[in-house]
Amino acid sequence: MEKKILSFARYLRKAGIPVAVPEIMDALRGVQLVGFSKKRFKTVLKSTLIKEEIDVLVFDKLFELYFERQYSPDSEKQPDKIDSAKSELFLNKVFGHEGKGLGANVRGAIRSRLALAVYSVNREEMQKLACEAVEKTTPFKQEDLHDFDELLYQVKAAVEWFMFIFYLEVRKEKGAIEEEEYFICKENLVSLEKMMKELLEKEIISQMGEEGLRQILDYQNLRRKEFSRIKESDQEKIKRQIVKLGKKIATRKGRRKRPGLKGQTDLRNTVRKCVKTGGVPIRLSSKDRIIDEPDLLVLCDVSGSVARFSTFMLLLVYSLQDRYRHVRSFLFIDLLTEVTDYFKNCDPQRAIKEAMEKAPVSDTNNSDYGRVFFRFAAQYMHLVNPRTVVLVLGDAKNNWRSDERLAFKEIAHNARRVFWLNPQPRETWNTRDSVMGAYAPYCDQVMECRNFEQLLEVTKKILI
Amino acid sequence: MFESIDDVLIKLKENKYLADESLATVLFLAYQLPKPLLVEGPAGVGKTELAKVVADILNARLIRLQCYEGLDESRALYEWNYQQQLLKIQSDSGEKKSWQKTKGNIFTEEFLLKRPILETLMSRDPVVLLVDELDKSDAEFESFLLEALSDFQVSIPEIGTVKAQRIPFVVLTSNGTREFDDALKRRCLHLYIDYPDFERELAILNLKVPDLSGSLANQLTVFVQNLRSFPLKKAPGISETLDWARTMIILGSSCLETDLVEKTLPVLLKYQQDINKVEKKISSLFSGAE
Repeated sequence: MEKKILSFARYLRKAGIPVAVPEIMDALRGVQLVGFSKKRFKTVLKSTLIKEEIDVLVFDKLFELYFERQYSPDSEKQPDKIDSAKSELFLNKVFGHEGKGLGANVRGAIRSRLALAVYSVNREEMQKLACEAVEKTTPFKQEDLHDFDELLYQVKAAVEWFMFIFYLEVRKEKGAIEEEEYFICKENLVSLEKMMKELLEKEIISQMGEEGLRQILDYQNLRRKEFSRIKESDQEKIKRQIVKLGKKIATRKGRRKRPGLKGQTDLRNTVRKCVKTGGVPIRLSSKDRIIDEPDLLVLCDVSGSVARFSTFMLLLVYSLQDRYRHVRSFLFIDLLTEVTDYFKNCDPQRAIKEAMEKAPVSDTNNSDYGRVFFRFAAQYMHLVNPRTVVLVLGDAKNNWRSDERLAFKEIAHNARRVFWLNPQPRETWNTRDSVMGAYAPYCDQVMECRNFEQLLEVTKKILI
Repeated sequence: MFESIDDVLIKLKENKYLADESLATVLFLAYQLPKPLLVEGPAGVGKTELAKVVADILNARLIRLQCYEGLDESRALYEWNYQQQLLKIQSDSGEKKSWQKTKGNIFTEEFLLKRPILETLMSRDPVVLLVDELDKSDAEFESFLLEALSDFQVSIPEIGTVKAQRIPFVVLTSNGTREFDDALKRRCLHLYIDYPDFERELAILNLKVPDLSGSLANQLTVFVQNLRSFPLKKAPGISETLDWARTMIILGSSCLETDLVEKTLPVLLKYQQDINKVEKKISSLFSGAE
């Protein structure tokens, strides 16, 4: 068992979750104390190894794959069998042509089997369907592995899932299917999907071994998931984490008052010092904050491909704005607009939403970095001075328009530092319409920033 | 004493704290290992309450250290009572004592102002140390705390090292507004308390406010549970639900009605924006139990 826990921890580490040796020791001792009751065992591991909400998804998945995966269909309660006449009727209702009964091509088709299995809650048949479907999609190609959703889509397509859904929706609309029947189907489709997922995962692991396991974990891992692929429901988690990160950095340095030359008199310190001189306060001490505060200027591309990344980054910037003297932010697609005012006295999350909706950022909806930099140099150059740090967020895809490297060079020349964060994979820079190469020489650093893990790295490097 | 997880569950319940299995497991571990317990979760789900209850169960004194921005060692650990030292020096000044003697006189426990952490370490009786809302303090304090908590000893230059008489049970709470250092997280057991589900909240309500009639308790819980699914600035915690229930008892109402809710909404929601948002939709929040 110890071995198993150790290798479990190893996988967690591979997924980018920091697990230190003392924590594993805690886990081992904890397991000894608590014993092997299944639910408690999980709690012990979770509380000793996982310290961050964002990592819970990976933990749950790995735990499931590692310790729990003995799916037993018998344990499920078998509901009453629905007699065949009734299910035949249902089939008619879903696929039949207006009173003409079933077409010959429907009767034997896999979608009828799917409909029947789902309608009559036949778990065996569902399991069988899932198995067959997964078999059809194997063997997996290496490049498919990183996109689990796509694989699942293929599996579903193999049982004519989408066709069934389509008919189901249409017939329900028309009133041919009763509400209750509809919901039974929907509910069981969800559990069928779960079966498919599990089978698919099992298959991937048995075929690809450790590599496959890693891929599945990565898919669950919010730290490594590309921003553009993160589900709506998980976005909140990332946002919370970003705000936390921002607060951490913002309090990192000198929010506490340190001794300074001027400012408020620090009575405690003054009295403490005069103990040395027999109670005569000779030296007055004072406290003041002395922090180096640069100005931050953020230019965000908010075109479709980058919008989500920009949202996250803006959120980060504004949750640590205490660290900066001024933060000014601009949004653009091919039109540059200052949105700093949206953030005044306002919750950053709301401000971002409002700014994204209201600010005029586009004429043509295609990004044009050249035009934007040109405008910036002409209009806002007075904002850039040797105290300014300029942060550009964008994929540098210029839609085949001309670049304005001179304008950018001028901006870079005036600024203290220029950083460019690109949410596209590094390999694709300078291919197709990406003009990263034109601007890169003038930046202090150009970094790839596609997921939370990289965002952490970047933050460490440039914002602290 | 906690002997087993079931023991923890029973004892918590005796003290009117309803916990789920995972909470009890982690608490048991923290007690046995022994490790500081880092409790995170939204405001008002009973994080601080947990520490108080544990102190009660263990028959220990609860020492509370409330964190705030700018909290430093002199507020958390110890400080010399400078004013009193000055007085001592001045009153001694007639006697022409040697410096050595004076020094020995003024740096004694008499002039030491013990702050919560030192108090914890020096205590001879069992102690539960509650470091409340750690996320409000700053990073320097965090690393200082780390030092104190890992060895349970601190050194005071004038006196020497103070080592804990017995290892205290430490609970750190956080609302999760700030991320902590890895080193601190590593030394703690992590517990996340979320809003309770319907059954548990109802059970808590029945346990804590026994005067409340069953049907009203049911209604209140449904309402609050529905309210939490709203996008609010601050969703109501359990403590707000309890306050609300007590309000109902004081008002002597037996059934939840729209205008009653409207009047008492400020008990649940603490932001005017939230109240405005909810006011319009009160009736829709009554139904849809579970």
